[in-house]
Amino acid sequence: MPQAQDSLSVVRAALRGERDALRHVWEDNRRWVAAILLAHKPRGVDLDDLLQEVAQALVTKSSQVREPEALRPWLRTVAINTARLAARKRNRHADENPGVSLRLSGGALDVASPAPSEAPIEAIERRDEADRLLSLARRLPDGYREPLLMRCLHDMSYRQIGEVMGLPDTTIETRIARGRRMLREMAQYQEHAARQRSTEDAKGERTTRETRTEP
Amino acid sequence: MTGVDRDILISRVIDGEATPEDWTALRAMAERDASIWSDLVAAQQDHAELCAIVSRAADAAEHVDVPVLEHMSERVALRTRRVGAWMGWAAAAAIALTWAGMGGFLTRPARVGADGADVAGVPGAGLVDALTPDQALAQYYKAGQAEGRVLGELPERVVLEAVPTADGRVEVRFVRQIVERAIVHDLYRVGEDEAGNPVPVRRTATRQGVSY
Repeated sequence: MPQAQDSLSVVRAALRGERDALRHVWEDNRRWVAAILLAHKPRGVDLDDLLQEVAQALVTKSSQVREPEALRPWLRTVAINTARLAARKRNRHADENPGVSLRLSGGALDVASPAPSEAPIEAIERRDEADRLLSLARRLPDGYREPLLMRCLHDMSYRQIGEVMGLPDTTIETRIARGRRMLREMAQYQEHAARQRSTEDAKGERTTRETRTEP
Repeated sequence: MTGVDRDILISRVIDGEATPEDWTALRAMAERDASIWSDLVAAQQDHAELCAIVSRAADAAEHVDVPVLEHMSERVALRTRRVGAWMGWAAAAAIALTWAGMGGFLTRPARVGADGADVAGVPGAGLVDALTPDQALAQYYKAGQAEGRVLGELPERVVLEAVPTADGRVEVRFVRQIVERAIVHDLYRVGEDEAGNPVPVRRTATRQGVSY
């Protein structure tokens, strides 16, 4: 998604409300918007719905943006606010429906829990393998998790991520590197905790068996 | 070499951004501490797993289009509502006439054959081709006023949007407000049934008019 001069003129046209330009701008940016939403959205909220909301905001509110260079940071803010609003709505729903929770192995896994970062480590371990790392990545500080996820879109350079976040590319590079290390440490901690628990479970089982076999 | 440098080197390799100098530094570091290779493999694996999820999300985004047309319709609808509010009952009654089946003039545009002949029984429609829009409108006023149907045009025009053009001018899209009258047996407005479908709702007219 290079922001060349011709691209800037398309953004200018979009800010004036021109239909084709708005469509063009959305198509240029929607992939990384999805990454931002993924970084902030609560579990269980449909990504498509949030994308629709951001697209809607682009059409109805982007005229507030004065400079074309400011569009991407603005779009990022809209995406974050949309995801946070969804989280608040979900929180409210959870408050109003306190019965919607699952009891698992003596612990409580609230299916409406919006913030994986607040979930106990045991709950995270029960999640699907496919979501394991994403759940961990969501526990990273905002400034680290966003560039990490955006970098997964191979057409985004450090500089382009920096444009979206309003940061120098050197900072983005450092944050991605640091974010990866934090993610690895969390994953190692999680693996260690899982190993420890399975060892304790096996030990407990052996003790129970031995107790049963005693005369 | 600090810890951060090690992280950055690993990260650059993962991102395909490592320069020959980075590789040299990485090898030199690995000679002192071979665990850097296993760290690299683990970080690479994390990155691949994470990217699989992000790519799925991004692919889903490809199916979400910007709702431009819906927005335009809403804007026009909003403007139309404003026109309705400004003009009082006149605009709303025009809509009602459509339902009452009295508005052939409003609902059926004149269709003209390729040879200029009248189509669909619209008398004199072929003449429209020979007129400019202003002449056609003047003709419409003249005929409408003679018939007692056209009362006049409101002086204000409702601007829908103003878009700068490439040559530095401004394209303005607006609504001209022409007031007509009609004598009808029944007056309807467009309401909604329980399912949200449009349905005609009969209105009672008073001497003061009908408010919507």
